[in-house]
Amino acid sequence: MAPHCRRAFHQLAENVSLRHQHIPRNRLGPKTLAIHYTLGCNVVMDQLTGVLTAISHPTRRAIIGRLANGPARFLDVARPFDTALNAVTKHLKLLERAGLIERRKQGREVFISFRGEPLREAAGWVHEYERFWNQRLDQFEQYFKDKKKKRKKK
Amino acid sequence: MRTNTKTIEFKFERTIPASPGEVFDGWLNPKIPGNPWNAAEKFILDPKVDGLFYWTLKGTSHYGRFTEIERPGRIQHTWMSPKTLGQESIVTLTFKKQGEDTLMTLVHSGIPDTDAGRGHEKGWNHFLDIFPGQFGNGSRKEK
Repeated sequence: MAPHCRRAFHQLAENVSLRHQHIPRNRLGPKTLAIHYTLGCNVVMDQLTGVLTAISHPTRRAIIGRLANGPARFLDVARPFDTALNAVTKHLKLLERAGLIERRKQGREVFISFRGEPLREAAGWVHEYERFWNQRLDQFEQYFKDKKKKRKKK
Repeated sequence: MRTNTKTIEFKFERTIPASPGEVFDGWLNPKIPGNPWNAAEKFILDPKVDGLFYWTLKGTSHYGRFTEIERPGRIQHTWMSPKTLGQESIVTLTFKKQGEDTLMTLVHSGIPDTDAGRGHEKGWNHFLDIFPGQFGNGSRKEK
C-alpha cells in the first residue's frame, strides 16, 4: 500500500472508531463505512473494498492460494480451473486492482506474483480481542446448545 | 489508572438456550468451554466482589479484579494483559431472560487503541498461517 493510502487508512480507522466511540469497531458494517466513504475517506475505502471484494470469490481465493506458493505464469494459474481463460483474466484484473497480485516480465514470459500487504491491512480490521471473545462465546453458546439437544433426546 | 491513550470497546451478544442463572454459573465455572478460564494452562479464580483472577495461556498472563457480581444478571471485572499496556480495561457481562433463553451481552471497554493493543501483527500471522494451507492445498488437488 502506498504511504498516502496507509495514512488515509489509519485516518479512517481513527475517524470511525475513535472519534465516534458510540460505534464499536465490530459494528462497522458496510452501511457505516459507506457513510464515511461519502464523508471523504474514499482513497482508503476503495482500497479496503477492493481487497474484500477480491477475496470474496472462491476462485480468486484459490488463485491467491496458488500464488502464495510462488510466482506463476498465466496458464499455470488458469490450468486448475474449469472456467474459460477469459474468466480467469477477469479475476486476475480484480486481484491486480486490489493490489494483491503484480505482473513481472522475465524475458518473454510474464510471471504473476502475490502481494500480501493489502491483505495485512484488511486483516488489521479484525481486532485480536474481537476474535478472542467471538471464539470464546461461540464455544460457550455451543456448549449450552449441545446440552439442550442431549436433554431433548432423553 | 487512566492515561490519555485513546481507547476502544467491543460489544458481543449471544442468545444462549438456558436460564440466566445457568448461563451466569456457566461463565464462572472453569469446566464449561468458552469462558476465559476454561482453556487456561493455569488459573486462579475467586469470583466475588474484590476477588481476583489470573489465567495464563501460551505464555500470556491475564489478571483482573471482580467489581460487580449480581447473580443472575451481571458480572463486571477489570482485565489486564500485555494488550492493555498496564491499564485496567473493563469487561461487563449481562444476562437477560428472553423467553426460555438468555440474551448474554459482553462489553470489553477501555482497551488502549495502539498498535500493540490492536495486535495487528499477531492477527496477520494468524491469518497467514491458515491462509496458504487452506487455499494452496485446494488448488493443488484440482490439478
